[in-house]
Amino acid sequence: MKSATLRIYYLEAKFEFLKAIRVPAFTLPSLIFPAMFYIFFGLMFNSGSHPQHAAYLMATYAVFGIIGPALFSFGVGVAIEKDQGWLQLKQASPMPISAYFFARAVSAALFGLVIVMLLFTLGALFGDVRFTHAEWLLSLLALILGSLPFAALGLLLGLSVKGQAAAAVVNLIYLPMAFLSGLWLPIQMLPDFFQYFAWIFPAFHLAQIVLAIQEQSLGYPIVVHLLSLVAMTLLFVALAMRAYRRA
Amino acid sequence: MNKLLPLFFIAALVSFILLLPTPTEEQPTSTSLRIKNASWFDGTKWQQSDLYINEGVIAHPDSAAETIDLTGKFIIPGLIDAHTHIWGDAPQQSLQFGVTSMVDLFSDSDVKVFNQRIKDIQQAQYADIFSAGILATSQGGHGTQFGVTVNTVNAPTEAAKFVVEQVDRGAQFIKIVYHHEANYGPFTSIDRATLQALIKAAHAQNKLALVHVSHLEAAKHAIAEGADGLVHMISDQDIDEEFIALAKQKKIFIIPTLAVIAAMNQGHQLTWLEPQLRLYNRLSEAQRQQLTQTFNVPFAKQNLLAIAMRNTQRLHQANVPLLAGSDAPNPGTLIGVSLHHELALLQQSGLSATATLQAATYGAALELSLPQRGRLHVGDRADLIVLGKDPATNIHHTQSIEQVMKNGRWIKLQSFNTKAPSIPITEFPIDAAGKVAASDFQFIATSDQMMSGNSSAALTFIQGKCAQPEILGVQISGDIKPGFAFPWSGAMLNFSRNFSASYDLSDFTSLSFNTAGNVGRYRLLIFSEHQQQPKMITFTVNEQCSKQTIEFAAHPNVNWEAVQGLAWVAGQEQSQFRLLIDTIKLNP
Repeated sequence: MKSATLRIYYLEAKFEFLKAIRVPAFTLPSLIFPAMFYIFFGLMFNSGSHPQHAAYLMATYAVFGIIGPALFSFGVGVAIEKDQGWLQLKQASPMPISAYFFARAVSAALFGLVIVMLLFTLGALFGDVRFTHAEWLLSLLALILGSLPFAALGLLLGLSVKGQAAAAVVNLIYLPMAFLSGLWLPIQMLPDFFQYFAWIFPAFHLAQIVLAIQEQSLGYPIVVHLLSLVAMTLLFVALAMRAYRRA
Repeated sequence: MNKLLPLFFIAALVSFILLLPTPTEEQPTSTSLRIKNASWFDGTKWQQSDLYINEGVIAHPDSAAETIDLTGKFIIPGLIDAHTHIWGDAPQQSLQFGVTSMVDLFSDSDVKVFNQRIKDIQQAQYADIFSAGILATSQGGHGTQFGVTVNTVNAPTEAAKFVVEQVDRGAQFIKIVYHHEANYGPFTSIDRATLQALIKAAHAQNKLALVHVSHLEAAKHAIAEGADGLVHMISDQDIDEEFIALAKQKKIFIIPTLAVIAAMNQGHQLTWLEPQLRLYNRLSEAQRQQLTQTFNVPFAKQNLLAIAMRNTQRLHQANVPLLAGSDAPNPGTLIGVSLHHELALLQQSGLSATATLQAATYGAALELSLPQRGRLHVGDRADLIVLGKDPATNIHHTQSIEQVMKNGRWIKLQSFNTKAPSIPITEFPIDAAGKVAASDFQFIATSDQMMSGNSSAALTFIQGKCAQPEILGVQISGDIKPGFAFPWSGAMLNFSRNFSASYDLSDFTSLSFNTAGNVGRYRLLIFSEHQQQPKMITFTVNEQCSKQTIEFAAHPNVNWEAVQGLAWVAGQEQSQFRLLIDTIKLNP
């Protein structure tokens, strides 16, 4: 019985992932944009002025990279399937509905993993990034687990907006948040006001956690960022549950 | 197949992580080391045998040790500066000059951090700091003029509480300032009964009582009341037989601090700093200049160095232990560097080179109970200096530093003799927020509030009456109030956020700017690298616009080659004032 339930989760996740990679319109931008941006801004325009530049932007573009699949898989995917009645069908089926959300979370995390590995490889090969094994591993784990708050945010959006509007709404949040959280340019380069404004974004907190591992964060205690992320995630989940009951 | 998938997945992830590059180790020589063919001073005598180091300490012979050959080199224990004040990066900087332990005789540093580092045998970035914490002085006494909050001791009944407070903060010694008269120069002093109570309280806490005196009479009182050491040489008059007998009978030690006495009241020359030895070339011009600075001690005599050196000689002949201490970073001294000056002055006072070396190594460690320091016996810390020339023939050869080891690790020695970049702009156009275009420069208000004073300053950036239309000036509205010894209020032009950047202005001949405001004398302050106090240049302001030109050639004591910031301030001559500054320009 127990293994049968597990099998449902496994199969749902597997096919969700297969479905996702078979949509090149989703796969290619998620994989290519973070890597491309990183190559431009992290590696090519890194004149060697700041030795930690490549490592810093590798972390922030990795954060940028893992947010994409989580936000899109939930924000856009769920919105469309909700409108098409597919979500209702899933709800009606004997499969626990949590398997559906679990599958999306795993799929997003796997995509995130591929992106992170791609960025780490680029940073190591061309940016001369050197970390201890523990730092590499911690960065990777923080990034993968860090996709959860964005999955929750995406779910909230997906359940709240119409399928046709979803892509626009997600981008409207994703791109400004990425910029204002210091994912494209180091946050120190933004005016002081933005350094405080960034505190409202989960992306800022995740970036600071990953940067803290390489000792390049702004220097606030890591637990502050961790608690902020947990609180934001809980808030998103609570709001999403309300939206789910209404949907 | 499905069951193997997670395993395969994890294995792939682990191999990915393991394949990612890691930093190359920077400190390969923390293991066993054997130094052969060097002459080495163990803190009391010279040795020729091999020297073994393991796990940060001097070790027994070990056949597996990696050997390095230092033929023709001389090794001495890392030096101990028995009188310093710790400020900023002093613990890092002193290592650069071979000073691996320092006694901090008053600063508001976090002493517990120092005490942690003393225990840490892995660290090789900081000199060990043995600190006295805050000094004991009277209200208005010496030590209260530096802007550090000092809880003064004004009666014998307050002594025990003060001492316990310092010990709780982690203090390793109790430092007391004493003078035999209630008033001297601008200062007051604790009375003799309070001195006695403080010394007793220190001894009750098992701490050495180290007393700051400069006069013979005060020194006699201090010794009679049980002081363990005096932290300056007597410099008001020649000592008498009574004093020598008292010092011998009470077994006290003295830290002459001739290096700082040399800087008092008369400028001194750099004859002790040997241009052909390595130390000289590692110092910047500004640092060398700083070593020639002087400061006025209003109540002291002109020939006090000569008196202090005669007294040093007589006490040495009487076998009173002398400890090398520089009192850096007072004006005319530099952390780490000035201890070499002190050694030169001790030798000049009649100590043999070996006795001088002892005063800065085992002699100091013994008197001050600094465990494992100042000596190279098995179990002692592997803190040492490799010299190219023999210090036993001439103590100036301590300046031939080639390598420094702290806790068994070699320190990367750096040269401070580097040039600052040229300043990128010659005019300073500001916006309404005080930012200078095309630079990181920024105008901010500055006042003695940062030193707990009461003056205030506010800036607005407005179209002034002195400049071309459209050009903004700095309007200072300030209020000078007593509260700090040298009150100030004005506008500061920072070249970087935290004084981290310096620029070379020496390619220009002058700095000009327009002024208008309340009539009076004002000052331009120039902050430059390695000068902990800014240089002051005065100028007179009228109600009408006037152009001020500061000729650099007229102010050779300013280090124009590495300027970190400028400030236009009013001093104690003013009360409420308004001052407009604009059209600031560097002229070729």
